[in-house]
Amino acid sequence: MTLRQGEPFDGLHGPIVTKQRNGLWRLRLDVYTEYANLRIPAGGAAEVVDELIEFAEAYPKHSGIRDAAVRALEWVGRTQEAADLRPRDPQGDRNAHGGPRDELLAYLGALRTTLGRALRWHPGEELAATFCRRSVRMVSASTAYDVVAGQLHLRNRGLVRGDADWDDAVALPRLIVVLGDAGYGKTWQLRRHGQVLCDRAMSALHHGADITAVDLPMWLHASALAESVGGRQSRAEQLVDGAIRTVSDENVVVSQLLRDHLIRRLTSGNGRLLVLVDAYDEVFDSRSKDSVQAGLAWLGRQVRAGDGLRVILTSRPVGYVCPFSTRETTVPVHHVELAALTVGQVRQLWQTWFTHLGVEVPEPRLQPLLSRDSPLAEHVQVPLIAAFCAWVAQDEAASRTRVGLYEQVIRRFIGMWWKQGDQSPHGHNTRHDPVRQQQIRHALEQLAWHMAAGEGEWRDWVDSKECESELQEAGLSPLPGWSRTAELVDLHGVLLRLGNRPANYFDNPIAWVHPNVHEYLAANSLVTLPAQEVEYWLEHGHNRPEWAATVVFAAELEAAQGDT
Amino acid sequence: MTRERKVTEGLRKLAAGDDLGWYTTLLIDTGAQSATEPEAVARTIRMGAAGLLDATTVARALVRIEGVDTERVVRLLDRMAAAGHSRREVWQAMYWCGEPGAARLERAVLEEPDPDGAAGLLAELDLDRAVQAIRLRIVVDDRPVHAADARPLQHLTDTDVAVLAGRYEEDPACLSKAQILGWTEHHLARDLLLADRHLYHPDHRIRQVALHGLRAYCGRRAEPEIDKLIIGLITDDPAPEVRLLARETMETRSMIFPWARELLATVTSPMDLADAASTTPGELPIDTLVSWLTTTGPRQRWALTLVETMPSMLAGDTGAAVRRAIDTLAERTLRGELGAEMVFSLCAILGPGFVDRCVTAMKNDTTGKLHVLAVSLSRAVPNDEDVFEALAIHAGRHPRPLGTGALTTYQLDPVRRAHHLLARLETMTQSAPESVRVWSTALRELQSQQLAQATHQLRERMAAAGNYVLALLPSTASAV
Repeated sequence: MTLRQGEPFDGLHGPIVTKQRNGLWRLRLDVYTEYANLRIPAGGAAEVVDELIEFAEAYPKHSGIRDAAVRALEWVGRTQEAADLRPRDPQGDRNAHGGPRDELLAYLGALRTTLGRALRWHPGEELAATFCRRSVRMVSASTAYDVVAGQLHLRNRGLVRGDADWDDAVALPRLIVVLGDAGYGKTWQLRRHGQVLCDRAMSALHHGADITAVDLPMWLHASALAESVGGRQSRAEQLVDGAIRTVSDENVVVSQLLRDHLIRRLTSGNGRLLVLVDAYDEVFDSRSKDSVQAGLAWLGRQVRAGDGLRVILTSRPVGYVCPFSTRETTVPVHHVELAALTVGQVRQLWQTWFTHLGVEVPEPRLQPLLSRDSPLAEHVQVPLIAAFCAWVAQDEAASRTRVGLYEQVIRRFIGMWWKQGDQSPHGHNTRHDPVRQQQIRHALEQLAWHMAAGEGEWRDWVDSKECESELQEAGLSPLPGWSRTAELVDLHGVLLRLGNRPANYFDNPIAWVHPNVHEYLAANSLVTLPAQEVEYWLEHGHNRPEWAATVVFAAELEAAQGDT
Repeated sequence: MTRERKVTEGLRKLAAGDDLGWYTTLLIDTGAQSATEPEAVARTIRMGAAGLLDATTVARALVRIEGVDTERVVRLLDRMAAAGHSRREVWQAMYWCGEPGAARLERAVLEEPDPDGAAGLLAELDLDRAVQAIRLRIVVDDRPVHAADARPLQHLTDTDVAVLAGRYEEDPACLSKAQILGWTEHHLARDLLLADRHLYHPDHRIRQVALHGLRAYCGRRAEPEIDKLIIGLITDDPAPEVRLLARETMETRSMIFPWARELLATVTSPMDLADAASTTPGELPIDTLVSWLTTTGPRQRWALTLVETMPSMLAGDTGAAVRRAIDTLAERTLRGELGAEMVFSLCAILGPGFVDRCVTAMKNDTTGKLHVLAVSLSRAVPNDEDVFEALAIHAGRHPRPLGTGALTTYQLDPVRRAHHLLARLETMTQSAPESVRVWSTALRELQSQQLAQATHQLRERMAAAGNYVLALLPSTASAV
């Protein structure tokens, strides 16, 4: 394509030359359409969109290029322009097929954009850029019993290996629970699935399908079900409003007509609706938990009452209790565990990661991690860790030891080295201020130890106030206009706010970006304690998986410090 | 300046007097064990030999020690298998032993009477090598494998599949030939297994084998067309064996595929259950009830539920035939022939007497067929120390993940459960690594979940039990 510059046979005239020239142009457009259709779902919509619009305007009769332009516009969230470019329905009736088609398209486009947003430290802007196909392990009927009883303990097991492709596993069952430990990419997978559903629905609508025959996705964080349902709002309204809030950042106005349409689909049980509910495990206080459980139980009953509605729920396995009635066998609950990546998938992830950055995979920096004698060989198959390795390897060789890798990762979070070319936001200079970086590092270690040992029992999360006061005690001064917690959550991203309730966003509990990060930082404190205290914590940690990881990190730290 | 290694040293000290291998496992994970500590290495090996550590943990500990010859680790693992460790676990450990481990897995595929999953694992390490090995075993030497080794079969060439197809064609009554052909997931397998001359052969054994082959072919993949054919067999096949196998197949598939469930419902409701479901207990003639109870099928389950909800049906002279039918069902359950739902209903109908019989049957089970009974009983009768003891004895004698799961999730005071599990370890008279694996795993799970604040006394008892188990080993069990 790059070789094809300028006008073919430029300066020549005559009917034969014109015919040849037009033929070559058509060929070029066909090739470009094909190229664009491949690039768009691979995260390249932003790259091709402008050229596609240019072509579509210059060659209005070429339907392929116009469709590709519409598609690219929808992918990048420019839904209004997409609607303008789309050929008018000759009937001229926006509800010709019995529903608010254009609005639905706008909603789907917005949902697609929302779900597709890449994590801050991932390359590119699109989730699809670094996504790789996942597999799952079906939980067999006998172990399902344990799952149902809330007794599936996965924290100290080996890697989960898949026996079925994600697409196959979720294609048909109507009540699915996806289980996976932190870092296994549950949200990543569910968002990607949501995007695929948006694409399918948009494509069907473009091709004139009857609205009622199109499967529509709806996305919500489990905590959206926690708000109490009073006399004024039904369960269905609560769910639909939660789903609408998901796309609220995209300036999409969902009319009463569309809202009613979604509610109808939900209440009838027969409407073709796929409800994706993320992070069932991120609801903490018991009242909210009860409310979420009741909401999901209601959803389960709706699924069973009809034949169109389907639900996919994600959760960590620890503490999981099935919210759907398991006595009902008409529509059984399918539990699947998200599998770790295979070595091939890890390589593929790295390949796409660096392709997106426009550079070769730095093999010497990454390859040793996968060798059989590497202490990270298994660990690196956890999707988050594989991504951490790629992130680190952008600038330096990823360490071959676990402690080395985590140190690199912490440094990047503190230094805010998210993306190449990314500017430090809000004009403050932490990135270039080693003293500030040290302060943060110290405060993080203090917080990690406080959460590990402060109350005598390990805690994976603390409330926002406690976090703030612990950081203050550790001597971290706040940035002007920021709380210390907000800085570490919103600027650095090393802490997370669990839950997703915009109304009381700042009250949501605080957790670590990954439990291993917590364990690593706690290990840094452990090695500084006097021998007698170390002995106490070793005894205390007996048979506790979180302490096992901390102790192993600590011993590795000691070995590394000894070696230097 | 070199800092003092307080954590590592603390860990080393605790590992030296470890109870059930927790600190040793941690020490291994840190990679802090070295060849200069022969005692610690020997202890790791002994703990593995005793069943307190699994083969993979031992292998990973040893291969990380500088200068250790991996060939010798492979030989050690072989010795562990010979001493009673699960071969699957040992193969899993081979996975970590580099080229010598892969070569051992390859040899297992080629030489063992049953490779027991070695081909599946080799395929994860080196697919081409696994395909070559399985080809030599199956296509060239015509020796069978089980489902655990089926994975590389999907990668055989058309020519190889044609050979397997020819073999099945020659001997369509041979179960393993049909299954092997099915596992290739090749279109030739599909065509041949579905051919009228097999699936609709006058001899029911040939039909049954073809159906087994189709089950292997479908695996867990969506095959709605084949499902429809299998449903046809449930209703139309003249042989009860084939009908039963077809029903079992569809019941399994209905847990995965909604259409399979719907299809199954079409053959269950109108023909079997409509009459049963619409019958109120009072209206049902005793003869009919008894005939339902004594005939395997969906009505049997329904009839049992009727009796469960209307125990008066068992009373008096009229109930005698029902009681006999229920007793027959109880007998069959105690032989491991009936499923979980039956156990629940029978416990409800027959009460503590039946539970006692179950406990005795599990304690004396020499066949290893009572897993379903054990798991079902663990759910149906919680908070019963006799049941838990029987579960522990059974799981130790016939180790399977299901049994360990039942021990881990049984509802009973954790301290009481720990007591029973420790009693199992303390009363062993000879080394039995797989039993130790089951009991010590259940104890560790118990501790990490419910006994976090384990009393000092309990910890000491665990350490003593660990040492006792180690002492049962022959003195030679600590060399690489």
